[in-house]
Amino acid sequence: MDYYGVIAIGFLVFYLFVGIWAGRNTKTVADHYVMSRSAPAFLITGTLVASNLSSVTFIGFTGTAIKAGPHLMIAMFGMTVIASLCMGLWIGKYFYRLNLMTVPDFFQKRYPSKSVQLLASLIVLISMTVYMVSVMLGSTVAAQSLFGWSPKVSLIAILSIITLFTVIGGMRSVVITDAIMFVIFLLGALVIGPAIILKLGGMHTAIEKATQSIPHIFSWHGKMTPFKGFMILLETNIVSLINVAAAPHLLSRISIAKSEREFGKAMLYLAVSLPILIIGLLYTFGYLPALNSQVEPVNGFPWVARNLVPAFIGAIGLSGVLAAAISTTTSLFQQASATLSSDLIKTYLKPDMTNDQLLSLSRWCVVIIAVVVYAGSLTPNISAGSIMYAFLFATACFSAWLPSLILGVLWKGATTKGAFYSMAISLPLIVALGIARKTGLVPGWLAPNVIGLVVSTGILVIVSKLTQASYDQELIFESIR
Amino acid sequence: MNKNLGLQCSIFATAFYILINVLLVFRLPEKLDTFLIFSWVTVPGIIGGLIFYRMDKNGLWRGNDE
Repeated sequence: MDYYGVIAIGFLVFYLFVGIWAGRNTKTVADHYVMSRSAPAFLITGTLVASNLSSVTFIGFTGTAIKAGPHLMIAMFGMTVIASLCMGLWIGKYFYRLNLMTVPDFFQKRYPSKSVQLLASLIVLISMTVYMVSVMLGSTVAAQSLFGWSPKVSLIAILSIITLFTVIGGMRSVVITDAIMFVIFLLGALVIGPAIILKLGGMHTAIEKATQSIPHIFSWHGKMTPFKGFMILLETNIVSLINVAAAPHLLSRISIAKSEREFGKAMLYLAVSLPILIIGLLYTFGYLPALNSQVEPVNGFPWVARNLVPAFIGAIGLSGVLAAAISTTTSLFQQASATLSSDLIKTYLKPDMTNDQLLSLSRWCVVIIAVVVYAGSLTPNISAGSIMYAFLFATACFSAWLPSLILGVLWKGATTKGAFYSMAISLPLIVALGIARKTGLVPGWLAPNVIGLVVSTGILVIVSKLTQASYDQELIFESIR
Repeated sequence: MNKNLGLQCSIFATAFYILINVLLVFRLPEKLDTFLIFSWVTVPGIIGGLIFYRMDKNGLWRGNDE
């Protein structure tokens, strides 16, 4: 094992230590699920950014910036910033006022129906598990290429760390370790990316060299045709919107804030810091071919970390890639186990469960999900393409319920039947469209998420207009306005 | 409670926006595309800070415990 591997192991041990230390005060269900609603703004910003960025951002997005130009990759984060501000300054406070423990809790309160809540719980559980398998596979690929670890060793090491401190600390451990990761990402972006520009001789010389060798990096669509570039711009921005406004692991962060203003403050910090991180990281990697055109795009980040910065900084940067994957997975774990224990087992199998029993069950559910994810990640026929498909499947699930979530707090007329049919019809449609795209039956630029969002919104509005909201629903709606 | 927080964030985001335009965008041979993309990710933070400031001034948060 080389120097970078040793630093990575030290880093993982530190990560485990902080996670366990942070979780020492987790004693109740409210602690385990929502940090007893005590999180200050900077922790929420940190956990949201860390959960949103995965190893795909550091390896895949920098690779695309190198290959096709950085602008389209940067642009997708514009919608992340806008959607985050909409959640923080406008919509998020209505969710906060519902005093939610999990995201399916929202459906139980706003659309009081067992079928809607069951559908929502299943969407969370299935999408989170599939998403976790995709992120775990990504992280084992990253560990393999960065440190030379075998896939099985990487999987066991990463999964053990995540399981251990999610069991012990719950949301508190996840949030505090995420916040540390955020600082590391920010430092990595401000040091590792700009090293390319410094090596080229400064910004002025870098621009001159890029003008001669890679002029496409000045164009908004990079190497793509304007039409394809536009469709990618549209799809990636919609994916960003769906992720911020409907991904359970991100949405759950509203409930951990100590006040609704604190959540708004967190979103403001995110809107200010994310552009610095993204421009610092992705724009600078667009110039790498002007320095060395032989580097494979997918190896761009590891190459810069190993060759252009001091070894210790490079090792921290590479560990940050692993950390990005881990921080995303911990959030997914936390949400999936909360849904399985509270929204499914407690609600349908043992409603008279005490809080202590629920806390214990939640911890066991983390272990159960870890075993499922381990089995899923070892399936031999899962390829790199499947990793991307799993990610798209998860976001497709989120686009099926996005209108029921957002219109649920903004529109009094959204009804239970509207929510049910919106989710039940659009979800299989999105999955079918995704399979059709993967098999070439529909054009590659036809985005299932975009279609799904339009269909689910349309069905919710039409069915809600044709049905009547109950008195209970209207009361709940009035209470959060 | 710091009631000027929104304004301070807005000023910080504006400073970053000016910095990247002066040090980078204005030096490019083709400026418009990069300017628009950078504006798409940066300007919302500037506007968001101002909205947050107005919300603080008008007391639009419920149950604030600070």
